Amino acid sequence: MNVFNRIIVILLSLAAIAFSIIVFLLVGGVVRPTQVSPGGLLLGLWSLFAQLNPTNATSAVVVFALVVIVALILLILELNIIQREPAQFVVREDSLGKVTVARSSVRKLVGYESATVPGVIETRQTVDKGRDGLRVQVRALLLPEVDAPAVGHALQEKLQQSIQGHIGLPVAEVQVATQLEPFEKPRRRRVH
Amino acid sequence: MLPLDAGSGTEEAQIPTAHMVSGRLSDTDIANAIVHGIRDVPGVLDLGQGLFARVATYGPGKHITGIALQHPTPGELSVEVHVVLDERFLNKALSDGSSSSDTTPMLLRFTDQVRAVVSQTLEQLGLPVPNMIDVTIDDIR
Repeated sequence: MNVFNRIIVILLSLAAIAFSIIVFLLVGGVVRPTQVSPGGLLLGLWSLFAQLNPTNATSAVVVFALVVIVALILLILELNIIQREPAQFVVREDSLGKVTVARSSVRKLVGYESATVPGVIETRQTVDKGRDGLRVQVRALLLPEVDAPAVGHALQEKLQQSIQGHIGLPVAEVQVATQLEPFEKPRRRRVH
Repeated sequence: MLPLDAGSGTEEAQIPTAHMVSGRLSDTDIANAIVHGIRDVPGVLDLGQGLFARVATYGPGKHITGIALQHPTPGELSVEVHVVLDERFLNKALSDGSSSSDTTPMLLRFTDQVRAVVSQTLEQLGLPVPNMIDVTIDDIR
């Protein structure tokens, strides 16, 4: 979902919550329709809610309570997406401008560097930004005959030096997990 | 004289007088020239599309992907460049890197080259050196 659609969803969610709260206040008799109708806006609609009989009022409260719950879930999801890890890392920012690199590119570089370590067959890696630098997590599939702790340590050192030396980003930690079982391949969907 | 065809992914553009606005080059012509210069930088596979939204310079009936020009004030220019790095170049640079005595990170050496080409291109077009040149590595392929 692009930024424009996200903003639309957030605004609609906020509008739904505000609408529901007004309905609750009207049904409960806390406010009168004229108080929530500046310039007579939606006065007819608010009057309808204010004049509901107890049975219909209960139904309206239940329906709008569900609307609030759905809107809150959407809001939380959207705001959580906005606060996700950045898709790019700033490598340098000076008077000449900014140099940034996509997170996916750093991940690929980690993959290339890992593949050069003897004994490593394949890797899966994630790169996140920590307070003191990048946090790299690597799962490495090793050849059965190699010394896993030694290869893991070599991989750690290589990645730390490589990211700092080739990209110029500080590395806070490199976590390496080694395994001998092949990685799970994504399952193919059966087409009927 | 710089050739001004941007190659695939962008529409062809020459610089006849019709493309000049009041005797000055249009933004798409400038972007086109920058694209052509950047494509010659070793390691540049292609121009990037942008990470969040499409980055391009738009003109009448055409757009130049990977370059965004801004005019903070009249007479000033800032350039945003998005590139895709060539995987083969990267691997070669990584293998050569350990023997190199240059301590500047390889990626920054590459982006410095891109910046230099942008400045050089604008200089050749008779435009002032941009006050900001942002470079983003969108992908490695």
